[in-house]
This record gives sequence, structure tokens and C-alpha cells, in this order.
Amino acid sequence: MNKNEIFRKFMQNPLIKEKTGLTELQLQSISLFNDTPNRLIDVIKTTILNLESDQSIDSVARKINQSFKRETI
Amino acid sequence: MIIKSIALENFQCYSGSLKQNTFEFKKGLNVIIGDNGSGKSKLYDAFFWVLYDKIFDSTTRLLTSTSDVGINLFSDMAKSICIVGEQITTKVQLVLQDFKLNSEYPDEYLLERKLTIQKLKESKDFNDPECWKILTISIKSIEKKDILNFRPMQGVDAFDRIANKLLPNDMKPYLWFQGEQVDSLIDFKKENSLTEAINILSDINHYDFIKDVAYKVFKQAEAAYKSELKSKSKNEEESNTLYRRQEELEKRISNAENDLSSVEKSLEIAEEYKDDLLGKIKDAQELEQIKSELKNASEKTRRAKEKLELARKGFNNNLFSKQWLLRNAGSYFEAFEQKIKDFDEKREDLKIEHKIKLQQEEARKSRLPENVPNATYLNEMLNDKHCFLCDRAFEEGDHAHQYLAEMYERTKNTRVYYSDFLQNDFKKFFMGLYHNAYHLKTNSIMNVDSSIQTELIRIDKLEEMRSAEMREYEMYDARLKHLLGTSSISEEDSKDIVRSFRMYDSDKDKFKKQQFEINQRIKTYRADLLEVNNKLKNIIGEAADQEIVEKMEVLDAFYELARTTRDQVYEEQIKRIEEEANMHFQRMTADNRSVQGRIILKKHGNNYMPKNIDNNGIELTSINDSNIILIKLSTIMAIVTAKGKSDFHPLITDAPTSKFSDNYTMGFCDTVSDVFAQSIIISYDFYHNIALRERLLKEVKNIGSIFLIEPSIPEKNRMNRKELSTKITPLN
Repeated sequence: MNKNEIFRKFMQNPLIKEKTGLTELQLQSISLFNDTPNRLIDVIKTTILNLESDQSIDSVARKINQSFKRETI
Repeated sequence: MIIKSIALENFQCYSGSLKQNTFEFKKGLNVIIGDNGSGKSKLYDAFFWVLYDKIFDSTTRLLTSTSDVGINLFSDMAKSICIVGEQITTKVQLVLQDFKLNSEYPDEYLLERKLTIQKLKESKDFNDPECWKILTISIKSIEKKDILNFRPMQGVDAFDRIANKLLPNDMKPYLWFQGEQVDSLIDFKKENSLTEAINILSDINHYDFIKDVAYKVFKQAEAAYKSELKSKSKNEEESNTLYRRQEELEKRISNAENDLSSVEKSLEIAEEYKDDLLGKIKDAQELEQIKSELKNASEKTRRAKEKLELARKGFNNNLFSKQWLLRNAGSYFEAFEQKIKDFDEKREDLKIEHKIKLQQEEARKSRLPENVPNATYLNEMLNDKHCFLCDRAFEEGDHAHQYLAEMYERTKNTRVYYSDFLQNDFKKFFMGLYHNAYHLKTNSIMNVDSSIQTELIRIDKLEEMRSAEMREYEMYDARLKHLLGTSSISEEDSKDIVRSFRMYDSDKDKFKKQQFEINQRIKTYRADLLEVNNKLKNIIGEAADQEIVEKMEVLDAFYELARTTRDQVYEEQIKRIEEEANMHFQRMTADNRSVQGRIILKKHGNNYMPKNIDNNGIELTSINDSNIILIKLSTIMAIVTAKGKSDFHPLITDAPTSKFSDNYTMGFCDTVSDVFAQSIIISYDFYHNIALRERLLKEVKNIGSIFLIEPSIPEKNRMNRKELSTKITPLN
């Protein structure tokens, strides 16, 4: 299963609509590699894109926290 | 990545150059067929040695390092012809192919391991370690992108990286095994055995990683949020009280959740154990019922037998107690009665006769009527010495006096005593006998026949009753034997099964009740916590930092999504593995109609375990070893296929079918050829069984290369190993 397939699994979770407020159509059109105007989906993407064998939990958590800071700036 | 070829030089029984000992493989199922002692396991060793620098010692069942194996790694032929001072080399070369998605040509890698030794001196035994010196152990790896583009890769790391790409360490046990190891790949005694395999062979670890990341960032955001609320509180005292309460409630919720988890685990175990017994409980209950009926029947038979024996013994006693002895004694009584009558008549006659005789004698003596004169007059006459009858006097002592005195004396004996007429009178005795006999005649003798008849009827009935009880006992005994013959459970186990089933059923109810109570408790705590949180929000003096609030909310949602997505994917994965495992199981057992049931992956706590169930969902407990191994292999193949062929790795296995019978071999090969992009099977099965070999060549869909290996000297004539080499013949 590649990263894109993992991302699709998240987009197919019935909870995602409730948590993002996006429609099914909008969710289907979202790609792992394109920009998304939704912070939750951004966090999911950041995590999946960093799914590498040499990445630790702490380093990915750091990247997520940094992404929030960047957006704030 | 697949294996394009393996070439061996002077490696054990593979004497000669790399060119002489090369196996070219293809995608699909590759089979190396050979008799015992033909070099199959040595080839398996060569694969392992070139990749991992270790040799499997079949005696100790341990992996041994190259330096420990030493000169034994070399072919005897090479050692025997080597002269002092010369060097010989053994090497194994592996060529691997890595197929890229968008490239017509695969990348190729060459991995080579080489060992060189030098002969130091001559000896009668060329295997004497003293005669040899190990010079070098070296490896070589080359990467070849295309015909013109190849480069040596430096160092052990590069070599190991390629080896790991071919067979990742965590997957190795499932891709590289000998037949006898199959059974231990999924250990049915270890709850997490399958879960471990799923975690290794599937992608679920990615989701676990995401979940762990989500938890970490959520907890960080939550801490920041709490800190923000605390810093902006307008009532510090109340705020502190609420925080303490919040902490306490969170602790309670956490404890209750732990309790709930423990109760749910116990509930699952109780349900699992109860379900495990479902397949046995019907037989066990029936067995227990029959055993109970059998016990009752046995007791009834015993009692009937006792009654019958008592009646039979009593029958003899009745000769005396019920005077049956006197049966037919009625005629004797009648004869006796007659004799008594005759006796009495005769006695009466004698009595009368005697009386008459006495009277006659008296009359003759006195010529006077009896008792005339009477005693009073006689006494007076004697006293007066004067006879009143003749009015004459007499004197004492004269004849008249004597006569009267004699008469007077006679008056004293005038009564007739009947006893006098018989010397021994037995009348009374005889009458006593008669009366006794009369009583017996009227009360017993006349009823003896009917009494005997009644008793005989009673005994017959008792015999019938005992026979009926015996028949009932035999019927239950036959049912018990039949059930024991058809059921998988023993007579001794049934009691435990029934008792355990009841116990688990009762436990299940108990845990369900506890589960409900804890859930209610958690609900109450959560409501209280919500109230506390709302209060906390309301007592902040100024608005909380929106960024912090939003971050916490986003990461809370992320954590929830990560958890639920992981669980959904895992459930999907389990379902897919289950479906695919059944597909593989059916294919592998296609040649064997005795195999029944289907595989389910049953949840046990947080783990799953493969089980074989029948059409009614009842677990099959009497499956044989072959089936158990096939269930395990099917499950492993299902995990591999669930992962997809894109990440393919070869399966390399020595004698994989050694643990199951011939009629599973074709099914296994056909399935393996489909599941694995490449499989290399070293097997004995097709050596003698030519029909099976022909089927292998004709029927298997994705067939690769088939080789026959034969030793130059048969195993039984191996005294001289100097000439030993291995002939490799491609069969397709």
C-alpha cells in the first residue's frame, strides 16, 4: 500500500466529513500532493508524506507542530 | 526483486566451476527436484551462505559461521586434487533482478561470496583441517543498470542492503523456511502470533505509526490548551479547584476505562472459550445425558438382579416358611384321620368291653346290684356286727364279718377307671397330632400349589423386569459407544466440557453486567468532566488564544481519525486475509476431498487466530496435522497477497510439503505459483512420482524453471567422495 492509498483511506473514513465540513465530492478531489485549504487534512498529509523508515514519531510530530507555527506567522 | 540465477563453485557437492553449477530462474514457480542425498539441502545452504555468511547445521539445528564450517564448505573433489601450496576457492554467485514500474529492463545486482583456502601439506585424509589454511573470505556486489552501466558497490552495508531488499529481515521467516519449520510460523499457542505476522507482512504498521504521531501531537496541543486556560483565569482559586476536579475525573475515567478494558477482555475470553466449546457441547451434553441414563439403568439392573436373586433364594426357604414341603401330604392326613377314627372306635370298643367285663365280674362276686348295700350300711353293719339284710349277728373274724369287710372295701373301688382298660393310652397324643395336622391341612397344604404358582409368577415378572433393565442398559451403552466413536471428545472430557461451558456462560453474563455498570460510570464521569470543562471556559477573563484552541481541536480530530482509520483498515485487512486464506486453502486442498470447512480469523482480545469451522460456524477440532499446516500456509500466503505483488519478494523453501501428504503437493505448487511473484522450491516429491512431475509441468499456471539434480555417486556408495559432483538437468 503506497502513501496515496493510505491517504485515500483517511479520506474514506466516515468521520472526515464531520471533522472537516467538506462534502464527499470535495474530499474525492483532494490529492495528497496538492494544496488543501483545511488544516486537518494538511496534518494528515504531513504525517503520511513523512512515512519513511528512518523517521521517528518525534520528528514527524515536530514537523506537524512547525506547520502550525508557519501558518500562524 | 527476484532471483535471476544462482551459481556455485566447488561448494560442497557442487564440484566444478560456476558455469557447471548454474541454476537460471524465472518468475513463477521454480522447482529443483532431487532424491535424498542429491544436494538439495546444499543448494538451500548456498542461498543462505551467499546472503548471510552462515550455514545451517542439520545436526545441531543451528546456524554456523563460515569460519566454523571451514574446509567442509569445499567440494571433496576440489580438495582431493589440490596439491600442496595450491589454493582453491569456493564461491556462490547470486544475480538479482529489480523490476521498476516504468522501465523495460530491470536493474540487476550481483552478490558473490567467496572463500579461499591453501593446502599446506599432504595427508591421507584430505579433510584433515591441519592440512589447510583459510586465506580469505570476501564478498562482492555489483549494480548493473543496463548493459553498459554497471558499478561495483563498496562495503558490507551495500551488500546487506541488497540482501535485505531481496528478503527483508522481518519477512524472512515467512519467505525462507524448511518444511519442518512451517508449523512454527504461526504458533497456535501464542495469541499474538498471527497479529505479529500481519504487522510484519502488511502495511498496518504505517497506520500504527500515524496513530502514535497523532497521539503525541494531540497530547502536546492539549497541554498547551490547558496551560492557556489556566493563565487567563479570572478566579484562580475556583480555577484551581476545577482543575483538581478535572484531574480527578480524568483519573477516574482512565481507571474505569482500564477496568472496562480488562472486563471486556475477560468477556471476550469467556465468549471465545464458550464459542470454542460450542462445537463440542452438543456431543458433551449428549454424552453426559447418556452417561447419567446409563448409571440409572445400571442401578436399576443391579436392584432388579438383587430382587431376583432374593426371590430365587426365598423360593427354597418357602419349603419351610410356607410349608411347601407338605405339598401332596393331604392323602397322608386323610389316612391319618382314618387311622385316628379307627383307633378311637377300637378304643371305645375296648373300653365298653372292659366295662362290661368289670361289671360282670362284680355281679358275679356280689350277686347284688352294684353298690348294694352301700358303703354306709356296710360300715354300720361292720360296726354293729350285725347284718341288716339277714338280721343275723356275727363276730369279728368269722366268715360273715370277712365277707362284709371285703364288700365294704370294694365300695371304695367301685368307679371304673378307663385307663385301666389300656396299658398305654395315646389318644391324647394322637388327637394333638390330628389337630395340628388339621390346621396345616386347612391353612397350608390346600394352598401350597397356588402359593408356589404365585411365587413362580412373581419370579417370572422379576426376570422380565431384570431383562428389560438389562436391555435398557445395553441400549444406553451402545449409544455411548457410538457417540464416543463418532465424536472427538472422550468420555472423561465430557463432564469438564459441560461444566466449563456452564461456567463460561455464567462468566459471560457476569462480565456483561460489569461492562454495563462501568460504562454507566464512565458516562457519569464524562458528563461531570464536560460540566467542569465548561465552567473552566467560563471563568477565563479574556478570550483564549484562538490558534491554541484551534490547534487542539484539529489535533483532537486527527487523533480520532488516525485511531478509527487504523481500526477500519485493520478490520478490512483481516476480512481480506480471511477471504484470500480461504481461496488459497481451497486451491491447496482441491485434490483432497476429505478436507472440510473454511478458515476464519477469530478475534481474541486484540489478536486474531486462524480457526477451521464448518458450515454452521462450529469449530472443527479433529483436523489433522496436514490441515493445520495448510491453514497456516494459507493464512501466510493471504497476508503476503494482501500486501500486493508490487513489493514482491521470492519464496525460497526446502521440502515445504514434507509435513503433508502427496495429494496436497499440486495444490500447494499451483497456489504458490500464483501468490508469489517468484518461488524457488527444493523438493523430493517429484523425484520418484513421475506422474506428479508431469502434472507439475502441465498443470501449474505460472511455471518457471524446473531442474533435476543428480549426484555422480549414489548416496549409498559414498565411500570415495573424490569423484562426487552434481549433475544439473533443466526439465523445461
